[in-house]
Amino acid sequence: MSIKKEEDIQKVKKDFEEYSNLILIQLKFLQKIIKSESNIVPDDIFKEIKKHEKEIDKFEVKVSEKVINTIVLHNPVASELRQLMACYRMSVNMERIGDLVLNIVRYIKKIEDTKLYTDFIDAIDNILLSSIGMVEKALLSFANDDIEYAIWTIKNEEIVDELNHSFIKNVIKKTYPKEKSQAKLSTFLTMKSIVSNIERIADNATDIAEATIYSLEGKDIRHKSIKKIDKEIDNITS
Amino acid sequence: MNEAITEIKDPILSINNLSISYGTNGNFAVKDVSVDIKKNAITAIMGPSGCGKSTLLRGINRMHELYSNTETLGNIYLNNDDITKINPIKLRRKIGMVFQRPNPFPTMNIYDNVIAGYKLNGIKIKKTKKDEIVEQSLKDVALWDEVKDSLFQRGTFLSGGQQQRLCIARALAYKPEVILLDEPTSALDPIATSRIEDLLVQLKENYTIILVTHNMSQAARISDYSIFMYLGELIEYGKTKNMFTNPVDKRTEEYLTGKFG
Repeated sequence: MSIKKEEDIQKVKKDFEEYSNLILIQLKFLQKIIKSESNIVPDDIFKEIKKHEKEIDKFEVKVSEKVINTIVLHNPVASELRQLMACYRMSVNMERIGDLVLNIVRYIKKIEDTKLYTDFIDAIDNILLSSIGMVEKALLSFANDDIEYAIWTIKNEEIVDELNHSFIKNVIKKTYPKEKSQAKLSTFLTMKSIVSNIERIADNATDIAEATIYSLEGKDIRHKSIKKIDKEIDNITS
Repeated sequence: MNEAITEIKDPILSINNLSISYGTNGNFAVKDVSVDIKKNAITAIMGPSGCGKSTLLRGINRMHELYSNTETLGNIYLNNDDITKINPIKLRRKIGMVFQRPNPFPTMNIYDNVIAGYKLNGIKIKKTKKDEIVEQSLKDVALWDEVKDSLFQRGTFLSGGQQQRLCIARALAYKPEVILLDEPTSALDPIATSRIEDLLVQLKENYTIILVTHNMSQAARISDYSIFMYLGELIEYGKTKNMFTNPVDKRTEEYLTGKFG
């Protein structure tokens, strides 16, 4: 094996690991903000989140460039090529997760009716916890070559979708047809955006898990129906 | 069926349980190889040194029998005909071979080199027919324009790449069905290599090509199917793109990623 090739592949993986850790830090900040049940985000935390977001953008470019250079210079094949392509794909998803975290924090700062927000904070926290769990397991699945975590993530997407739907239904039931103040309406819309963004975090976690499965098994299960994915997963695990 | 072996419909060549040994000591260079070769495709045979690639290739047109004390078990069928029942000379017309080092006959001119197969086997053909064969064969290897004004000069003045194309023209002159090439570009510079590779890709429209190569990138660039051999055995056979992205056998994966070989 070429030493240079091995070194370059390890450099990509190391950068990817640092990038993953940064994403998880951002998600922890977000969780802390939600748990505070307040629409006031401390300045120092907001500054930190924005600083990390800039680093995340740089990481996306750095990882992508390193992947391309490694492929051009070393012609990797088989599992090495799949790992690199998975890193390339996942770096895009991770950058989106970073954007979504910042969007959610900005939405929280815009909440007008804090009582309404507090009424639903548990539900929001619940959806967030599920989404963060998916991101953690998806990233771990790649780091540890663990297909079970990837499969768990993909199957869990349905749950987050369902939580999202129920949230919307419950908020509508609670706020309609009661007094529709400007503040309540605005808060409702803001909370809906928060939850939609959280649900998109889960979607990106699913994409990361699919990339891991491609890396480990060479199977591309993107854009397949749940039934077909289940069949592919059964084939993988049998 | 071994999931590392691809099934081919209507193969031009069927190799069944082929084993070849040089000598009677029971050491087989090729061990129980079974594979079907797809018509009008390029099949690359890869593997580390000493894995039996060249022996397998030579077995296909019985060139290995030129060595003494070879033992052959199993069968090979060309278009459903058992090759052991075909006269070896006739067989080698149907299955031509090109070697690693370009080897135009040094005492013959370019014209005679192309038509050498007919001459050496005592096959008499009219001059007009010879001219036609020489021109077409040289055109097929994109050498005609370069040598048409020096057909009666010796081929040894040509560059390495041109000599190798001349050798391929010599094989084509016989209108074979299959062309075997044993590391045909390993002695050539990158530009000449590239021209030979382009030529092979064009030729596969009319011929079946089997190529032994040490160069994995070459196999990836031009072959449709790849065979991986190790210690005389066929480990994996499949579409090149699948083998290079997702090999089935761990040994194939390790060879392709450079862990051995």
